Amino acid sequence: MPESLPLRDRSPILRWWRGVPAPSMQGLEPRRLRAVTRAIIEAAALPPRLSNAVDQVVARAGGFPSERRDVARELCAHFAAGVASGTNETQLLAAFGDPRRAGRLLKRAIRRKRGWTWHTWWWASRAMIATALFVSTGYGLIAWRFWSARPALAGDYLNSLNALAPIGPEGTNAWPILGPACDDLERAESLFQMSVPHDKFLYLYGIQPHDELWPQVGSLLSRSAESLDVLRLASRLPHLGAPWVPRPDANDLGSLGTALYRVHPRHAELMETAAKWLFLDARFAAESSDLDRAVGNVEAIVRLASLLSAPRGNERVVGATIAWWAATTVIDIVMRAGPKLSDADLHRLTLALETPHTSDGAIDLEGWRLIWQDLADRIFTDGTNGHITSSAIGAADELVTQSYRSHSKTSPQSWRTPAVLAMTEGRAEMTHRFENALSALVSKHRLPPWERPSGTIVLADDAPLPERVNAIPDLFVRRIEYATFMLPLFDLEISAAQTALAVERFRRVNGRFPDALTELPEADLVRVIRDPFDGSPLRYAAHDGSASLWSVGPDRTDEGGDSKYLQQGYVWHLRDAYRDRPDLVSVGDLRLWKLAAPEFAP
Amino acid sequence: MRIEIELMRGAGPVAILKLLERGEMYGYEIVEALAQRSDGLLTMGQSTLYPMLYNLEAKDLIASRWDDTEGRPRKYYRLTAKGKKKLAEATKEWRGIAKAMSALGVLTHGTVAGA
Repeated sequence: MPESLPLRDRSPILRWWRGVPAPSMQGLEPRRLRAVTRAIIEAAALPPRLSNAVDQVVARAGGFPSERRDVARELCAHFAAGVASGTNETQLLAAFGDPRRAGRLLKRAIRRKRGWTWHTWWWASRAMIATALFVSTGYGLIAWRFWSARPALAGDYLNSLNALAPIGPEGTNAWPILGPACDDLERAESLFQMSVPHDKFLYLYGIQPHDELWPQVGSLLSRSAESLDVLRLASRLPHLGAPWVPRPDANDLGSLGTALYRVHPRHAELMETAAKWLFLDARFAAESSDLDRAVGNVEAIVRLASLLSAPRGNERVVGATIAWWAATTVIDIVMRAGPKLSDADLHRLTLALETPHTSDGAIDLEGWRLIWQDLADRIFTDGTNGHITSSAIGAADELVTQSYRSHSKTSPQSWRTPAVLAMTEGRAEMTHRFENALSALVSKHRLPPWERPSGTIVLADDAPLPERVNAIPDLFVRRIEYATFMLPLFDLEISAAQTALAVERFRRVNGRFPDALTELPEADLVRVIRDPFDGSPLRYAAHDGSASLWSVGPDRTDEGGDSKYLQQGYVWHLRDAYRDRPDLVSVGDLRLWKLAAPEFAP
Repeated sequence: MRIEIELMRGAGPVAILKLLERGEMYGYEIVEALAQRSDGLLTMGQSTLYPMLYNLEAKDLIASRWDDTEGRPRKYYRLTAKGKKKLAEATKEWRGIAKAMSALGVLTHGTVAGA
């Protein structure tokens, strides 16, 4: 028997691979398949080593049972012929070569022999497996990216927003001293409220001299005198210089979300806190006849409102809110100490309320529209290419989560996917709805307050998108709608304060209150606006040494100045009532003031 | 003498087809005939032979049948019409190669005479 022709493999890797001892496939075959060939091999009665070689080749070649049988029979016949020719077992095995290699080659050859149906099935199944693997891997990667990644804002949005805030040269900005003073006052108020027993809960700014806690509030004001001085000092500076969004950390999504939710910036909120404290201090000053301090506080509040009159819709609304506090303070002072006011103080108060910014142009719907577009562009799209980015998704996620958390909806985690949905499907829809709602608000605002339809503007919900898509525009629209509801009241309060001053001036000249507002000089009469709730002149009555002014209120019914819901008769109660329960504000009149002649003054 | 694996891949099937031209043969017979008629030069490992036979059968160049008449089963291979045609083409190609090699002086006249 000639030796096998040595076939040379050029590849060292292949040579190495063929040298690696492979595990025998014999033990790995299912018992049923082994039985197919076992009988044939045993029937051939070959020497054990040859039988084992056949067994190895068949095991590695695999195939259907018929193919296995065929291979086993042929190899058995081959070795039987060799034995019959007198070749010994060792020579036969050497001439045969590596059974492992034979099995591998046979496996391929057997497959080639199969028909086209098998080949079609084979490639189709492999293609399906490959596709399934590819898709599942892709989905896996996307899922991993989605659930594990924590997108961050790509741009410094806070910096961009803060760049909108005008800041003057160093030393001319009020905020560096005003901000800390406001923080101190907020903290002091919180501590005071915590010290008050629950059953004596106090609305701090509604306190009256007969209240049990009046002395404690007086002490609180004394302790806060330094901060109040800072407020008065800061109000004299020419610029506010406050950032739009405070930035405890760069790209702080929480701050951005809070700023969006509140719509107006944090500093505006603190400015209102300052105005309220100055109002409270003025009340105590008027009560203790420190009228110069009381009038000075009114002037300081008006100056703070001036600092906020930036050309942005939201700040103008807040500026008007603060101006409203000035008017409220004037009414409070005149009601408490009108007869004691000097003519000079009366003139100072009149001048303070003449400041044109107080309510003029406070409604700036175009400004709101710009804010929406500005923020939407900054947050929902990448400014460079207009495509939604992962950072935008992150920002939206945070915003939607925050807004819905504040609305006590479901858990924040469940909004992760909706946020992305809102981003990918709902941005255009959100803008569309916001624009529609804004247009409705503009139309509504063009009407006099008493002709405006009741009810709130509803965001269009014609598209089959979930409620969450309304989240962000809804926040904006509610705020704007609230402002449109309140601003006529702010105008009303300012007009009422100016009327109170005019009535007091009339009393000083004529020794009595006017019987009707028409008795007032022409210059004062033009400041008396119509009742925003019914368009009629404001109701006025004078009798028994007192004079009262009231509005019919949201229910548009004149109840003779009787205020059932508004116990103190102040506008802010109406505002707070609207904020908490808009459906409950239509009870009673809105008493604006009640003045007393000197002989009847408290 | 060692033959490059690529050369053997080309020569092996042709050698088998040539052997089967004379009549049908079974596997072990082919092995022995190859060894004898090529002076051992074209002796191939039998682990290579059977896959080669399966491949030729897959291409319809040869056909097989089982014969149990002599008491032991044997699988006989024979040339098909397609195989004959293929063998004619391959023979022509090999002669061309031998002629070219001869012209180049790689082969002498005597070595190609029997081809």
